[in-house]
Amino acid sequence: MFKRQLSAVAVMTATLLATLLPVQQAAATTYEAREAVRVSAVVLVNNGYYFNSSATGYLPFRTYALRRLTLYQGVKYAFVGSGCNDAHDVDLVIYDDRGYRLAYDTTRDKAGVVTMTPTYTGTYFAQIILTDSTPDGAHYALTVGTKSR
Amino acid sequence: MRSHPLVRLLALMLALTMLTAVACKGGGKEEIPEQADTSKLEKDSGEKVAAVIPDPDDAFAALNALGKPKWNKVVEPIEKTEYSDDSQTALVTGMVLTDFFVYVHAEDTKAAGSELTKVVDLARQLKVKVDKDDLKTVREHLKKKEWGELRSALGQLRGKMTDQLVEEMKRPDLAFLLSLGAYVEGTWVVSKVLSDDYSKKAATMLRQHELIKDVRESNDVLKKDDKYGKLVLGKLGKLEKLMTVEKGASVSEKNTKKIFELAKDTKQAILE
Repeated sequence: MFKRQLSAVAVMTATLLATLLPVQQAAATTYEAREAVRVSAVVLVNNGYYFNSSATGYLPFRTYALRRLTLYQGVKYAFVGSGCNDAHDVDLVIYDDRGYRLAYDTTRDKAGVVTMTPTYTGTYFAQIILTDSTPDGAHYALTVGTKSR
Repeated sequence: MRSHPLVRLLALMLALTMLTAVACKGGGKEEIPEQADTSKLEKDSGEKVAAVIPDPDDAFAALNALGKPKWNKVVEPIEKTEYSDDSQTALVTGMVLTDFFVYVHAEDTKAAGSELTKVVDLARQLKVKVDKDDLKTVREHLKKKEWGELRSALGQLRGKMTDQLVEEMKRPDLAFLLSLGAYVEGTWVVSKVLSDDYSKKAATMLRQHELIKDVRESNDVLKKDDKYGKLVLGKLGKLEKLMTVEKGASVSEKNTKKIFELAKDTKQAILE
């Protein structure tokens, strides 16, 4: 009788863990990606950039995400794209609305960092490329910073 | 002497593994083209390109770059404390966050502190946990009047709130409404500043029809019966028309004032 109850409790616990763990892991990896962005942005923050707008998501192994940005003419912008601990190499490219490459960082590390000043107010694109990671892919965070002086 | 078939199979597998490893390590990165077809990039990525709704603080930075407005005369604090549902609470949270940034630009410690208290209370109503360390950091920067660091620290705190809504609470609709609330309040602030002191150069900032179109068309998270969501998206449709100008052109003074009135109406409707 006791054994049966114990088995039931074990099954319930396993089911509960199976339900909860993926959610917690997903959140944890997004936090990791945000933290990686924050660390990579320290130098820029020390140079007067402030980071507010951000986006997060998940990328399968060796894929990319495209994000549409609205940027203001004449403002100095910095962009940092980074991955969670599962990401080994993250690159970042900024295009204008006609697809012209304006800035990019393809150095072999887990963060892409670029700065640029838009020549018009309107649409731009950020491409966050997960060049290398664990086979399961990785979570990423993209943050946009501005310099007002 | 012929080797055993199993040995040959193992050797073949080993060779294939090594080749794969060499290809992965040694294969240089693809060249980033000088011009890309963004529609093709979108198609190849396998998902619709999502818009990042700009934080109002980005717009305030743009206004500062053009000549610092009188920030301390821009906003009136939101006094409402009780909300009919989570959607309204999320919208107001975004609005209060925007007001916080205005007071930071005004370098008004007391008013910014008051808005911060409201943000924490609204987060509690949304059942979002505010990270104690992050909040402590924000308060310390506020106390020391470290305005730049304060803006980044609040950006971090807000990001974590959004992550919780989306990933832990599975309420992307509320995260979306929070951004929409911030956008509406930001638009109200910017159009108020520009209506009071219009300049063609500054009015290029209101060219945001592409963003609004994208937000309206790509919204797939709001619940169908979301009264406040419907209300704001409806108003955005009207804003889109007023903000439509050619690349490099400015929104006219007349339309800037109309945008201000529309943003004001939207604010009032959210707070009713």
